[in-house]
Amino acid sequence: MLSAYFDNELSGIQKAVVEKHLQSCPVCRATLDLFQTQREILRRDSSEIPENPDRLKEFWSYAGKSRLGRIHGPRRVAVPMPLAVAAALALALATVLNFLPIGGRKTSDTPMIVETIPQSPTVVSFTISPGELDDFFAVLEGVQVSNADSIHTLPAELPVARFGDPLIVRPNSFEGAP
Amino acid sequence: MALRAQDNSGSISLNADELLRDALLFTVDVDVAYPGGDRQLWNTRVEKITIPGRAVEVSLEGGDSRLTVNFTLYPAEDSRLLLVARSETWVAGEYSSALSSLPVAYHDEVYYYPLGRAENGGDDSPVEVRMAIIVVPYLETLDEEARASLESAFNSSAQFDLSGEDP
Repeated sequence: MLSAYFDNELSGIQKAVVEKHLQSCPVCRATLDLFQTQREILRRDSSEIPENPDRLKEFWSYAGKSRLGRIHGPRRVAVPMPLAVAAALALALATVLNFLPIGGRKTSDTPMIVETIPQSPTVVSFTISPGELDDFFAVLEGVQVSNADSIHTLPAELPVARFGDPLIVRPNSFEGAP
Repeated sequence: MALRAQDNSGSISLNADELLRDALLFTVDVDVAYPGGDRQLWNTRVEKITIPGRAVEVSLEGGDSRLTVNFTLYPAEDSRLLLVARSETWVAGEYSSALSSLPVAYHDEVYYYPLGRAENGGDDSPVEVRMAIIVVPYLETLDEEARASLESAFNSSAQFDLSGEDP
């Protein structure tokens, strides 16, 4: 309840009860102070936990006294038999129900589906459209190669003739040929 | 060649890095000589950068002749390319077209004779046209300085695709 009070999760009446108790209980006050210290440490965004020996000593001092003071002998509580039997049955029933698959409850053999965010690489690219393809290669050709005109003029006096069908061959295919 | 949709508007864009990776330096040395002779009468070199599937055109025009050859490379098995040559020739008013193909490897030289081969010839016979072709991956031809200038040009033109779609 002290933790719930610290987290401001109690109703007004519960809160008032705890506050009244805190006035007379140094152990709970020290515990509350420790909670506050831990919260401040976490908020500092630091991996190092600063030492606060005085406050810790104070807490353990109170806690030790309190623990010693509260250790008593075995205490017997009289519980009516029907109530005890009913509580035992309820506990057994709750234990059995806990292991039964109910409704949409996932059992241990149900595969767990983990939805992951698809890997979306950030692509940095230089893209061109198909219409720019010729320009692209013209730029490349301008970098290194000598891009001659696509139409070449043969000397007019050269007697060009057709000898047969076009032929595509490897140079070594002529080796040994007459 | 890798293509991918850039956006939902239906337009297609090409990734420059992928184009560069697939780019080929296509070199054609055109020689005109008498059949069987060593004496070269005329020659020129054509160097083009292309990618598989994109044709490279070489055209020659003479007195009464015209030759147009489209070379296209296609990916083939065992890291080879299929060289397809489509020729259209007009010689002495006669038109002819043909399609030839040959698997080639990088750095291997092949010869293409658009008007066929002559068995023998002399100084007074018609000339023979030969095209010596070599294909090399374009990136292999770049020195470090050229690569750096290209990367710089690409980086300065880069676009950020934050659509989250897998490329």
